[in-house]
Amino acid sequence: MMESKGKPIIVLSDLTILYDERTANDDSIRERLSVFAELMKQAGPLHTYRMTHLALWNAASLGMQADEVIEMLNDHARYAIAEQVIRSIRQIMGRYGRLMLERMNGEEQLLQLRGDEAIINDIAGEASLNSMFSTRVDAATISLRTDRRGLLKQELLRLGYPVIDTAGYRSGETLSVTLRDATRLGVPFKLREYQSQAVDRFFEDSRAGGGSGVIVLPCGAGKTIVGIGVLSRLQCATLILTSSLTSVNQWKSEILDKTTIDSESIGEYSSKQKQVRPITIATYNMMATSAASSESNAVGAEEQDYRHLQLFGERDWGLIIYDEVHMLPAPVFRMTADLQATRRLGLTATLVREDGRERDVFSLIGPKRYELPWKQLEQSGDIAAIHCEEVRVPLHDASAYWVGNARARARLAAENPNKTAVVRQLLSRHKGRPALVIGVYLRQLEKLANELGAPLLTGEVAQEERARLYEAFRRGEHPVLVVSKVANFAVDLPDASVAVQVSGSYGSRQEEAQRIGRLLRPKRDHSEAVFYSLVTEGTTEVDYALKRQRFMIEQGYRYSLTAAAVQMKEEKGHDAE
Amino acid sequence: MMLNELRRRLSVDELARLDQASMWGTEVRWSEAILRPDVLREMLAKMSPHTERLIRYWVRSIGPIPIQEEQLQARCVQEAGLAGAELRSALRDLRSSGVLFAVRKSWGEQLLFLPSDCYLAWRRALAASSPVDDFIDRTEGGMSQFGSSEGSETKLAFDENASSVPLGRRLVRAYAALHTIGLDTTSKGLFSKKIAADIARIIALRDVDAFGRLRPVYQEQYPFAFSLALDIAARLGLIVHREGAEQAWSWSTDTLEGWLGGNPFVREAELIRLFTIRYGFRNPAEAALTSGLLLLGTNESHQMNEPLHPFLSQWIEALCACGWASMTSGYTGGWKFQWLIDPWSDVTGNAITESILILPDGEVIVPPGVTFSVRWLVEQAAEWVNDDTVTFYRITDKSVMAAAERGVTAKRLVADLQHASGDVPLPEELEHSILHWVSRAGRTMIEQVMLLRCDTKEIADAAASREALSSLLQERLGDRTFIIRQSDEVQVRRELERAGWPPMRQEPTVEPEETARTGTVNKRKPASRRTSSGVTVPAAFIYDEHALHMYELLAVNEQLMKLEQAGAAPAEWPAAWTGQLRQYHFSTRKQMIEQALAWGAPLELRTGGRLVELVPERLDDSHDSWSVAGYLRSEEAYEPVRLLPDMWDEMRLIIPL
Repeated sequence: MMESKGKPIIVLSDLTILYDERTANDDSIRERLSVFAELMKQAGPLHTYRMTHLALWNAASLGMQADEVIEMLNDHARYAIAEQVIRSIRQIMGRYGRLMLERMNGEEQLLQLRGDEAIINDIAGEASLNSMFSTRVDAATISLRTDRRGLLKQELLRLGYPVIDTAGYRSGETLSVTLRDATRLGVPFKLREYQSQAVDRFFEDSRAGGGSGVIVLPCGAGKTIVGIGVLSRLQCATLILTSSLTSVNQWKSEILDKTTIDSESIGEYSSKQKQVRPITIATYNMMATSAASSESNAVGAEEQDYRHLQLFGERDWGLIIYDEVHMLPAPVFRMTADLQATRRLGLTATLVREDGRERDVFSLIGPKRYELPWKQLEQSGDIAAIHCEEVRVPLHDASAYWVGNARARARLAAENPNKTAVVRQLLSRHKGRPALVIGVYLRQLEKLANELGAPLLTGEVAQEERARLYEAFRRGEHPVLVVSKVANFAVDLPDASVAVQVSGSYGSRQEEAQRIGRLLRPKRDHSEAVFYSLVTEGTTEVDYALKRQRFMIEQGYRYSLTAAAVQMKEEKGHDAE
Repeated sequence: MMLNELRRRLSVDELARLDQASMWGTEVRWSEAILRPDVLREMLAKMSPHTERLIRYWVRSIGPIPIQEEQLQARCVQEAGLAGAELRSALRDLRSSGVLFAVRKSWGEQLLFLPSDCYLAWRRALAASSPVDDFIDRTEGGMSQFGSSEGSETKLAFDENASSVPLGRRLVRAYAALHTIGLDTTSKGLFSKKIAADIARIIALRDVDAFGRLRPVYQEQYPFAFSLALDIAARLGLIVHREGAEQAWSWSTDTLEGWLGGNPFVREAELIRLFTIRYGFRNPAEAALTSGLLLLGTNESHQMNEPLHPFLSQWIEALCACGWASMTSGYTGGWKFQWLIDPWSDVTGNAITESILILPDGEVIVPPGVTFSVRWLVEQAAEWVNDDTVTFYRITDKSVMAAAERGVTAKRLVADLQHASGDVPLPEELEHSILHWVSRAGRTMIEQVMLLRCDTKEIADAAASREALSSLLQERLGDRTFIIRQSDEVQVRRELERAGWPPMRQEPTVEPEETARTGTVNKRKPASRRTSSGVTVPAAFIYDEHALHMYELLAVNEQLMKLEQAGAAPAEWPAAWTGQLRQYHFSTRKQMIEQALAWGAPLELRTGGRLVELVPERLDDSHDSWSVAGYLRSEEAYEPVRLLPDMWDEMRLIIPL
């Protein structure tokens, strides 16, 4: 095994790349890697990337050649790269750009597929494509049915042929939008540098269809602002699809806050109201709601009537924004396949989908146009640095704990009364900084709220009361807010600097990520945010905590650990001083 | 037979004689020199022409395969270009200098042999300046020795995407698992099917044709990969067989530690060579091909054009299956062979520099350059995930608790892992996890203890209050029973007798603690199987067709005396016959040739003004004339010839020195 000592990259035979930052903590290498490989994991000093087909095609769509990828890997590889890896990279990237979808004779309604004669011959015989083809124009060209533009791209990708779509877009209904120099509250505003870059990238490379694609940014990096940036550049009617009602509201308030658009031009298409305006914001749930699903389960999925999908055709949209594109539901995919002449922007923190439909995102929304890892944003101060600390709290009643069943034990450990004193002491460390105390068990949260003299926010609290609490929290009237699981989803929850997690939903990895996400917004004083996780020592809660933390550690977060008994002592000493 | 094995069987005197033999010089001892190509090349230059001729012939045509002396004699004139006396002289040289050895079968037949690893050293010593050309020559030569190469037209198809995890790494995992499971065998002395299947799964050896040619001893009972793992372990001396013991197999601690501790690339290289010797030396032609591959350089790929001989193709496939080599289709056609591990790697060329990397989420990255002993350690502490250029493990609650159950403390585990990662402290998160997991293990324990039972509560109370006894009572169980240490039994008895309560002599209700658990490493001297003749037999799990360990190793002195006797020229020969070249009458010429044939001497002839050497093969006598058939020998050529008595002018007999 030939070794080149001191080089940071290890290339595995399954196209995984390990980047060892101990050897060379070089941002430029990581940046170049992220062009043709997806960052899968970032635990400690080792970053794990994967050269998926899509990642390599994404790189090819940006004009990168297979030889450049191989050369870059060879330059930095610690061990000899297996021949099969080199062959795979060439083979995969070699497939990109062999087929072009374009207008025939410049006519918007006439499309043709052009490419290598051999490939055209191959695909001409594919039964699954027959219904999409019209006629064979010549050896290298097939004319198409225009309404099958998206389906054709999807199917060709499934067969391993990514298509460059240069057939262009329609402009859509004009809408005058200007970004403000200052927000409505008078705070100076402009796009951050990386946000501007992301917007620029969306429009680059017109040959490959610039004007559709996906921007990948971490939570807290301002994906909404990037979407608004694209919208203001295009000046057209825009349909925004997002994941929840709260997110709809967030979009609306951000647009109003950062652009010259008035509220009359923004419509909300939800279960509450069905407004279709030049900028319309709807939820995926709404789009995926079918008549059949509410009426009868006997109707097959294919025959379901997704009546709200008509929204796509209700105006001449010039842009569709797919927020949290990794959550895009199947009916919207299908509809999107028919909207290939409309510009499409996907926004997400991850391209990895639980359902494995990353390929559909690539072919129907577009390739990845821009990505920036959170660590870089943290370094640049664009998102807050976070200190995570697990605090081990002694078990209150060991005898009661051991006689209970697994469920009862988990509950006893989570609701450990000893945690109350620890919460109080932790909060006293951060006086004056907005803090959230987050948990899942209402009884525990009520007790904590009473002890701390802090308001309790649960799902039961009415929207108006909630808004009032948020505002009081923002103003610092309530420095501490005790919140239930509602904090996992409430997008409008105000920014906090400190979070104390007193209990969690067993080992839910997503929950801890969401809770930490609450702290990501950059702090005005550039201070570090602090996340405490209280765990009862020697109980199953430790195992659940380890599971949750493992997920976060793989995202690059680190946890320190303190024993509460020691900590209490320290605090006492502190007070005495 | 390999040199180490041979050395174990040589007498102390014989070893001393060889180590002091002058032909090896004073700087290196025989046992080292005989494996060093540079020393062998020097030795070659000092050899007599016929000795050199014989060793070259041997390496080329006989290789590591044993041969009967008679067979050799029958072939020496035609194939080796040596007359009988020259052969005897050369054999004497090579035997006395410890190059060739001999064994005697039980019915008296003698076999001469070149130890297998020495053969490899000779192959390197005699390799042409361009090993590739040499290999191609050999391949062609090898193909002709195979006779018809019908299969050679078959289109080659190598699995280019096959795993290239070196076998050594896989064996470490397999042995570590076997060590944990234990070496228990069934009443028939076999390992259980489950163990065999589990170990085979770890080794994950692709089924290739070359393995099908081998004959495992337990072909019906074990998967091939398991047989291979055991065969290699036995051959390396990692496991030893104890005849008559209740538990037939045990680990040899010292050997195991030694093997694990070396440079991993050197260990892989040793395995490649052992593999070649054990499974690729079935006949001279195969040995020439398999050893020839070992001569190919490691820093480059070697073009192999089709057709490739089926055996060579199969052997390469086996090497690829073991993760030692790759065969990839060339962009310009044909195939490219490349060693992924240098078969001649040595310590100086590959200093150990790598450490494992432990991530905060418990993932452990094991680079290729860490020692097998570190891999062994990681196997004990973490779950294997995947093997590629590097190996991935994960430290989990299960793996840590399993280690804790084997008696490893958290402190020890953390310290060992830290040491293996180059003394870099473990990530804090992980260290806390380990502490937590270890604390979960061993909250309960089942153990065997010795009990002191008292007749009544009163006696128990009195015993507990006696000063001399109370310290020996570990724990009271109920009213009448105490736990005592097994090691204190004698003292407790004595104190009880003094107190007037002599204990009953009764069979213990609980079995005493086992003193030697099966399947654990022990320091016992490895025992070995012995044949009825008392000869040491290393255990094997794959048949060795040329096993020599069953036979009696012939002492060099005895053999040499026989050769010395044959070495002197017959006393009846006139001195002139072996002196200067002279003209003789035809009848004298015939007489001289008859003597040369009888004794095995070559002749020097002057013909047409030039000197030639004739190795006579036979004399053809007819009623009015005679002729001699044989070979004309020169440095450049060796060609058959038939000479009539008037075809040369002068002659003499040559006595090989």
